[in-house]
Amino acid sequence: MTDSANITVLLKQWSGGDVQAGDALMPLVYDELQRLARRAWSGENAGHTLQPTALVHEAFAQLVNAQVEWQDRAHFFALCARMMRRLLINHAETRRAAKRGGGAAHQTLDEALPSAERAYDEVLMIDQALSQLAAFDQRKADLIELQYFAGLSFAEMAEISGLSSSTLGRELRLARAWLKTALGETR
Amino acid sequence: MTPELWKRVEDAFAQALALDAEKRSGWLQTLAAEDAALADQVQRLLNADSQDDESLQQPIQASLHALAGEFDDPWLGRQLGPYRIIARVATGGMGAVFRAERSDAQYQQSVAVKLMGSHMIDADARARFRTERQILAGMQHPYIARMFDGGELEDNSPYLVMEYVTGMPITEHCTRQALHVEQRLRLFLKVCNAVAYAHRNLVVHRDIKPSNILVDEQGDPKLLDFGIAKLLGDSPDNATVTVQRMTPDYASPEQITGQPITTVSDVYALGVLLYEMLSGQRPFQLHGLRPAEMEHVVCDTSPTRPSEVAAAQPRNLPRDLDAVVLKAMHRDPEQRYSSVQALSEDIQRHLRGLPVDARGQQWRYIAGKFVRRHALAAGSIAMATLLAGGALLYHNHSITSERDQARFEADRAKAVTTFLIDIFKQSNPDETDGATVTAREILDTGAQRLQQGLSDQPRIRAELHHSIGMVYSHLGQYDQALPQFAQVSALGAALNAPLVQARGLAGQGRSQFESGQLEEAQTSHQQALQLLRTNMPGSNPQIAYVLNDLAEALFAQGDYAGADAHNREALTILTRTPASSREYLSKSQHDLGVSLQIQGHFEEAEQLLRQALDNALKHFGERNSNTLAYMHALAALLHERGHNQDAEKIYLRVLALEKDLLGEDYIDADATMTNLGRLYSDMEQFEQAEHFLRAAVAHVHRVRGPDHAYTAYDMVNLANLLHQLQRPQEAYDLVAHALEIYSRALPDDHPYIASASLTYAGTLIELGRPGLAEQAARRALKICLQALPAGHWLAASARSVLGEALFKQNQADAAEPLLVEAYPVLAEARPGDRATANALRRLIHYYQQTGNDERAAHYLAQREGES
Repeated sequence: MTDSANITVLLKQWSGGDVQAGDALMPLVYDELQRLARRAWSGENAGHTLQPTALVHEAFAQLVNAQVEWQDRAHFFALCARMMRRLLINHAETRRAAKRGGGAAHQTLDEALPSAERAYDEVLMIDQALSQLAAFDQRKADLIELQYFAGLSFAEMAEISGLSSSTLGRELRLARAWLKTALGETR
Repeated sequence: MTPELWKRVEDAFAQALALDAEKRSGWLQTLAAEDAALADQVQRLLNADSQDDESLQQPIQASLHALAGEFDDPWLGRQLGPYRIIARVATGGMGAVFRAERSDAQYQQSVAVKLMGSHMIDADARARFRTERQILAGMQHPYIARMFDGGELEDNSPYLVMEYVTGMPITEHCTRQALHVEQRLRLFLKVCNAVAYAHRNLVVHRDIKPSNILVDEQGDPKLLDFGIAKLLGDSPDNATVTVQRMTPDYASPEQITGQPITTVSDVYALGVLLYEMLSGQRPFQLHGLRPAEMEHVVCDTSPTRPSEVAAAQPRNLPRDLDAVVLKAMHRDPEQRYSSVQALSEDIQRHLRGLPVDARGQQWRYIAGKFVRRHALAAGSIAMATLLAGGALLYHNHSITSERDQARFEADRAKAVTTFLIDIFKQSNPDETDGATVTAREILDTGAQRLQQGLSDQPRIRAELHHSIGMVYSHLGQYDQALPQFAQVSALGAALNAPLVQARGLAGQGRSQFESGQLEEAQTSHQQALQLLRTNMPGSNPQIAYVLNDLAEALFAQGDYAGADAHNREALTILTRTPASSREYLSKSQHDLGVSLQIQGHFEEAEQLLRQALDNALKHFGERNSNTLAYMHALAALLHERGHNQDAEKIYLRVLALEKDLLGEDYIDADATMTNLGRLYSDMEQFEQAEHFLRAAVAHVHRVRGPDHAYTAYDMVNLANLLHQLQRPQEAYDLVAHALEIYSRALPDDHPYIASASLTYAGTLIELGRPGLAEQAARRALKICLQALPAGHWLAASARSVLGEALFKQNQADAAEPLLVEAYPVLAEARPGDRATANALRRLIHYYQQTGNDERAAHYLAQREGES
């Protein structure tokens, strides 16, 4: 595991405009989120909730020196949101591919988890719709990512995006509405 | 989608959101005329906007679960001090919970270990965490999960070790077990019990919600996470964060807005919990709302009554429970129950069939007395006869000689002493684990001990039960008093001692009466009376006291003739007793007088009320609350008879004495002010009238609060005056507000609502809204026919107002019989009353307008004759 001082430095460089630092950070964050998700769950209690917000905040606590400036914090959470999305999409694609090509061995498992199966399909559709939205309104797509993939609160998003709460509210509302219509059409 | 097009969509969407729903569709049509495709797109976005965001949230969360679920948990098997982690129970925003076992002890014990991420807590909070942990570890209550231990991991993240509780969330338990309302309430009372215990230890829960209250197999609740929310720190500046961690549905307005959190914040959350337990739904739908929106919903809007929500299911909720729930979760902390104890006492009252505090006064009692509040101090007079009843001698046919009597006295003294020592020994700190004991607890202990003790001396036991019953009565705990008196009568019956039995029955009857169980009270008193009659000389004043009690129960049920007959018999007995023992004579005189007044027999009523007052002055003097009640009653009668100057003098004297004797805050001072204001209004001294009526409203508002039925009552009286003074708009505002208060404070068919609705109808007629007036008058009439004795003058008044409202709507044919029928009833029952004059005015107006000069002249002549 990389030590948090290193990550904090990378974070500072990245938010200062150093693209390479961002590239170096991504896998670190990705791995940490995956590690935390594994750790968070034993699988014996499927009824309880494991929320993106818990993972993202814990990742922050694990990786970053708490004294960083808010811009760095903002960048970190934006990165987390992106990595969380990638993590879930990768997993969903892997599982789906496994089902298509894997034959009978996985059949029972998939039958046992119909809700997971559907969730994989749906999360891939969300990903697609979000990419469409980003094509003509990147900012709204980023906000959606922060809200749903990082589970940030309204107040945190306001701080990170620097938007006034009325603007943020309006942007989110339209973005959500658009996504829902987009999802409705693909189903 | 091109950026230009998207920009137009954005603008149109924002514009549409700014409009309310009605204007929006018109606006969309206009837009469609210009650009159909855009309008269509905006419409679809608006539809999507009105749905929740489950379709986005749920798949992400579910796939995260699925991903995490495929890996092993590294925490399993880890050792934390003496605890070994066995399984993960839950993971959430605040941390994770594991089941662990104490592995070093000889016995095996499962515990829950709660781990909080180090990001949840800063260095300051950690220090506080250690102190608070000690306090929480000290709490021991059967319904609270014990906190055993706690500590910190290598990375400073804190953990707590708690009792491991299995069970299901309380709301789920209610649904699965299909508990009926009473069972739900009893379960809820256990929760209150636990929270009240914590409050006594100065611990506020701050996060009461169903998932924190598990119900075990025995059906007992266990509260988890007491004080944990505070350990995690929620100073005002990070209150919003705390609320986001919490379930906002249960957060009080002060929690949401970051105001100080106190024990009444838990009262609020308990109110929400009870709402959900009773109705199956949460009071507010907060899902998917932004913080500002949540704040608006919780702080500025009122939830639907639980009974309305529950009506959708096969469950009937009494309105009393609506009042309890809504009072507990009042958005203003000052208006809630002042403590969990008060909330739970009110629910207990409901379970015993008593009116709840949340609903204002004991309306059944008031309903018996009806509209006039002057008789209200009669309650305190009633207590006096019970005292007299308590003096009932133990002379009995089984104790014949003086020597027997002396021996009985000696035995009694000894037994009572032993018994008392025993009770106090029970309350000794060594025996109570160091807890402080209140006098009330000693009393409760005594009542309990008596169940088992003194079985060889039943007579003395009966006496002690009676004494304890009396003490509970004095404390207003009639439900506790009742079983004590029931013991007395049972022991009396077993001993074949009819006077002891009668004494118990009399106590039972009074307790039942005070609790509003009028029929039961009547039966108890009748039985007592029969026993006394067959076992003592007919001239014994005890018989008169029971007669008076029986009369009161009959009167409250509207049986005036029966009440009068019993009071007359009581008076016959009492006037034959020696003058010095006639202090309770006034009570029967007063009761009979008031009853006769209500029936319109004014002359005899006045005679009796004057006698009652004279007798009270002789025995108690002027500076006595009973005497004041008799003065007030006389003044009200004199007013009704038109002896206004005499009434005025007495009222002014009562007002002065009340202030002097009972203080500025005397709770019923507004009754005197209102009655005096009404008197001045009839004397056409309108400035004085308005002064006193306004003073009454201000007073009752101050001492009883804005939601009390009496506050509304005084407002209606003021409204009546303003209406009379041709200020219909002011009158309308007041009475509309009053009706709103009544709708929460009183049952739907209470006569107060009928008379207020008539005032309301009157102002609506003045304001040119006869259609609405008609509705209000019909409502009043319906209540009168349901809740008042047949032929009551208020029903006539309602018919008259209804007639006018119909006439104003050009329904002359329907109006005429109502107007004609109403007037003679009023003229008979309420001569000189404004309602009567108004009924006559309406008749004259009707015939003048319809061109029937002959009838108009006939009624005009009646008016001449009266004035």
